[in-house]
Amino acid sequence: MSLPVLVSIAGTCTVLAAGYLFLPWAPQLPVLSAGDPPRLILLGLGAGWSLLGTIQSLRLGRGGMKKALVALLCAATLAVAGGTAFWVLDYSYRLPAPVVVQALEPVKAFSGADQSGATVSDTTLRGRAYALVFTRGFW
Amino acid sequence: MLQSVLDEPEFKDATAVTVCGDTPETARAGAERFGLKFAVIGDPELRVIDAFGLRHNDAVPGKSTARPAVFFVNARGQVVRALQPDNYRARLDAPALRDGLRAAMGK
Repeated sequence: MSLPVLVSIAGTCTVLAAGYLFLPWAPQLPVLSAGDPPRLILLGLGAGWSLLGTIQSLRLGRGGMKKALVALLCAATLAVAGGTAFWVLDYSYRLPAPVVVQALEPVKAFSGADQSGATVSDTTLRGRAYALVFTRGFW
Repeated sequence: MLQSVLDEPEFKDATAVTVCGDTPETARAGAERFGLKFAVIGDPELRVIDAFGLRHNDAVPGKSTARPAVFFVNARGQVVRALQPDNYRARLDAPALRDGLRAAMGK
């Protein structure tokens, strides 16, 4: 396998690894998990290597099928990198505006069944400090 | 993260309630999977979520759920602090959780 093809494949692997690190269940790594920029840089590097390796492979390589496969891999890699960057930089910020909460206002009335079927409400929790957490859910 | 903070001795008198737009079955499975001892409310009809004005329409294509938010409530039922991140990927931060729980406990 030629060096340009190896560079292209390494770029693809880097993009996949960087994309994986954005997922909620990914391990928290030193440096790389400190905010979005380190992982975005890794994503960009991977995409760049993939593109560079593919261009060199198309220029210097032999075999139409091999060139087509490398180009296809590069296109898929760039699509994954672009989609991930869009998700991180734009889509995940598309949230409704925060609600206005006055200091020490009474918590709104709520009631629901928990995982054991027991009713949990603002009144059953009265007398105890708690964090009321709204999430997107388990995904 | 939240469970590990609640497991700290300092917060033995505090608790948490999580509300999400999942079905009760999905919420139960998620609570078991992550070993959550605090209450998890599956609210697929978005009654609680709407009561707080936190509905995020089509958050996942075809599914509406809650905008991420945390309200720290004291023993008198008053909201002492609220966290509403601008990005749904933002994880709950342990120091912010500790600070909020301390404020709710009046420490």
